[in-house]
Amino acid sequence: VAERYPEFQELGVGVVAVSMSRPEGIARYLAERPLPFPLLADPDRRAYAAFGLERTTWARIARPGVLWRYARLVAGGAKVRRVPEGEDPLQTGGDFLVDADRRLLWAHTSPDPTARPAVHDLLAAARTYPAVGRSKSS
Amino acid sequence: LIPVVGEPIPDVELQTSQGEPRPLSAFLAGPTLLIFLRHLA
Repeated sequence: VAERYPEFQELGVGVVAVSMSRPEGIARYLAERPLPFPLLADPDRRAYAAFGLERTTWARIARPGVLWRYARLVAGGAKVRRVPEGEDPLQTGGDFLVDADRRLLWAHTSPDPTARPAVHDLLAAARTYPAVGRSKSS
Repeated sequence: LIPVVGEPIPDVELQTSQGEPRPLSAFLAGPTLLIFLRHLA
């Protein structure tokens, strides 16, 4: 998303990322890899819970389809690494598009760790909502 | 309560990288994509 952030800007869509890492971990991350949008901390995962993002199970992660997608990611160059301190490998993520009035327009919650929309899917979702285009002309 | 499409999202409290508590609404100047990460890549 960071690499294609100008395309979100072109649509008049802001981006906010939320991590379960502690603020210190986020500060270290941003020092090495600055982002063009806010990266906020939710170490208690209250926001995750408020958006219906639950913990998955090892059984779900170990399903053949999920393992296959992991294998494809690794084959594509993704690095395998330890889970950073304070993060939960079973926590699911999600993506939400909200309008200027804080109304939810679109949501994608991930039933397993690999089920995340690609950036072009996020851009496509943003383009389908008239509320998004409104901000461009204002 | 889980957000429903068409309904307002909860104004949850988050923290900046400096540890300052801020409401999510402080970062929503217009249409916004909220990405809840599984981990920092």
